[in-house]
Amino acid sequence: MSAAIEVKLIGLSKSFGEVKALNNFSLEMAKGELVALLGPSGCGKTTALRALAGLQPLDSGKIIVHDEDITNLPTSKRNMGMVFQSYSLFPHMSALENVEYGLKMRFRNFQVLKDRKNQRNYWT
Amino acid sequence: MQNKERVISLKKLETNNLFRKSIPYLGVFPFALLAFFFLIWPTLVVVYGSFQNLEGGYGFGSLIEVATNEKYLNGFKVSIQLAAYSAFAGAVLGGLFSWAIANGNREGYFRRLVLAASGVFAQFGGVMLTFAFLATFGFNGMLTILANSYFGENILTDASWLYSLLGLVVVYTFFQIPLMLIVFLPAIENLKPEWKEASESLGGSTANYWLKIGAPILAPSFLGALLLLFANAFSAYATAAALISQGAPIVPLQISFAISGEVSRTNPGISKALAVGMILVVVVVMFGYFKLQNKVSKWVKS
Amino acid sequence: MRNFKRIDVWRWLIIGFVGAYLLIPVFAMLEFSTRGAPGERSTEAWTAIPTFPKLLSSIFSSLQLAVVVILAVVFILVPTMIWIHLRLPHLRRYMELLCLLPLTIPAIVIVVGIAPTYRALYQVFGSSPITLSFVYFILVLPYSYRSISASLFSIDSHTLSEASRSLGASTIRMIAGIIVPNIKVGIMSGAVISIALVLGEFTISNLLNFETMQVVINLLGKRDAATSVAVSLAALVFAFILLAILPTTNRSRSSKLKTNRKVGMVIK
Repeated sequence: MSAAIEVKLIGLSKSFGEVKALNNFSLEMAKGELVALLGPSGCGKTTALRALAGLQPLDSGKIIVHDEDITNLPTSKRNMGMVFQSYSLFPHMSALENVEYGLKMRFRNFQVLKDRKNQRNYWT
Repeated sequence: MQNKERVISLKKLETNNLFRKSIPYLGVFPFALLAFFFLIWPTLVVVYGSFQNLEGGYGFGSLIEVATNEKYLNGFKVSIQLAAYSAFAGAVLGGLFSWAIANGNREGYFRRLVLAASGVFAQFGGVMLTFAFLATFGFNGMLTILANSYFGENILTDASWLYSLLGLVVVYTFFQIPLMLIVFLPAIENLKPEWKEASESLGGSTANYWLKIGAPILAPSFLGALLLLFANAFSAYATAAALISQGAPIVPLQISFAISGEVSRTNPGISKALAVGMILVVVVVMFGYFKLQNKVSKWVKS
Repeated sequence: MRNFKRIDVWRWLIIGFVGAYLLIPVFAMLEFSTRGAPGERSTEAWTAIPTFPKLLSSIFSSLQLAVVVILAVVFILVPTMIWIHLRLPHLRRYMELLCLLPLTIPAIVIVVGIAPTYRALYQVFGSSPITLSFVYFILVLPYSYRSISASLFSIDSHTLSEASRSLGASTIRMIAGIIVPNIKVGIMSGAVISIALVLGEFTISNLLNFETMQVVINLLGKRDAATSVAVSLAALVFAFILLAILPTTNRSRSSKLKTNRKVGMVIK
């Protein structure tokens, strides 16, 4: 009863100078699966996640999502949500504008934007 | 109740004795003395003296003269133009330069050298600056001679452009760029890389980021720096004095003529009225600068 | 070795352009001051420097002035700032305003208003340019204040002072032995900018008829341009070397050592 594999990290390697953050790291994640990376600090968890999001260039390795090789795809095109450790809120925008930003970037369609805005009331 | 009154805090002197209360203020006395005699007092002298008139009388005569005489109005106009152009050029070039430096190695030697050089260039005395540009673009300047030997007669041959408004703008921009770097680099470096990453992971391109996030966050600092550059150029005297610029009769030059020339004998108030005019312009500009700085500090704290 | 991205091309283009703008005139100064017979280089302009007595004495005066100003910054400004920071915090706003005022009041304006004061000082101190140190101290205020206050704010001076007091240090001991070493960076930075400012100042010294280095360079420029350029270049290089070698920024160090210093002080 294995669910379809959606995300494959294949042989990711990244060194920072002499420190090998990722050493031929591989991982497969199925659709709907909740995966947690645990480990002591400095073991490469953040590096792996950032690599997946496209924020960390790799020395070698491949990332496949939905059977598509996105290793060289820029972050903005990867359509992945990332919650940062330090929140990374834009200081000059209100909370609403912060939320809207992602929607504006992805959905050029304003109707969708309005619908999502109305959905906001659901959450508050 | 009585015990509370006897508690003495380390930070504040809670005593009713006026004498004991004023002792800490003695600590600032030497500084206050210097500040008073060499900053406050001269300013007061200037303001007071601007009310001096022809033949030593008192009134608004000098101030009105400065505000209405073609010669002085032109002086202010040229001063403001010079300051504005060089501030703008310095802000843009310096801003780009700041960005370029900020994106480099923050611990490296290059950056350190660049900052050291900027500190020196920004304070580079007007006289030395003038000689540097005369050595470059003057009638016997290095570039003038080079251009002449390669191109024959060209725009650089007649070096008198250096003495015009254009020349002054080019020379002033030379010290505006490093000043911009010094003032603006911290602002650019305060742009957290996480913001760019957050924007990217939300689907925004580089253009989106700069348009919607980078530029709005940097705007107050940039404008503030621009104002500072303006005030800096507006107040400058040495460069123009060393160039003895006839083509750009800026206010500081007019003030120096007023002090040392005929004018001071007939109407000692003119130089002071001109000075008051300068103070007014700079105060307005610096006020804007401080307002913008406050705005920025709100965000930096977050 | 990072991959060369497009962004690096832009970076170096900009650095190249601005670098050229700033360095070509400096190079031209070198070129100009070493001109000899056609096609040859000569150090004549440079070796001639000591032959102008006024030049040498003015350089010496300016250097002395710089030293006096730095002393004033260290022994008057710094204690005052620390004092206000610790004991009279409500005065801090005024002090800040005062220290930023010289940016708002141009030197040319100060000269106009200070002439009578200096006429009086002339009676007491004569025509030595060292009397300029009073007004120069005021001129360096904005820059020194900014760097020292940045340092003061980055350390927890209240805790440090209370800890040292509770351990028995006198006020002077606390200021000199505990606070000052922790703000050394800010003081150094302020001092170095002061040197650059004093060496480069012309407006006030010229209009008050003091013979500082800049004034003499200007006078000399009319007679012997090459030597003036040579001295200017020397001053520039001197100030640059100072700024480059003295530790004026301490960012990575301070964040790591700050807490250690604080704890160390209390325990000691």
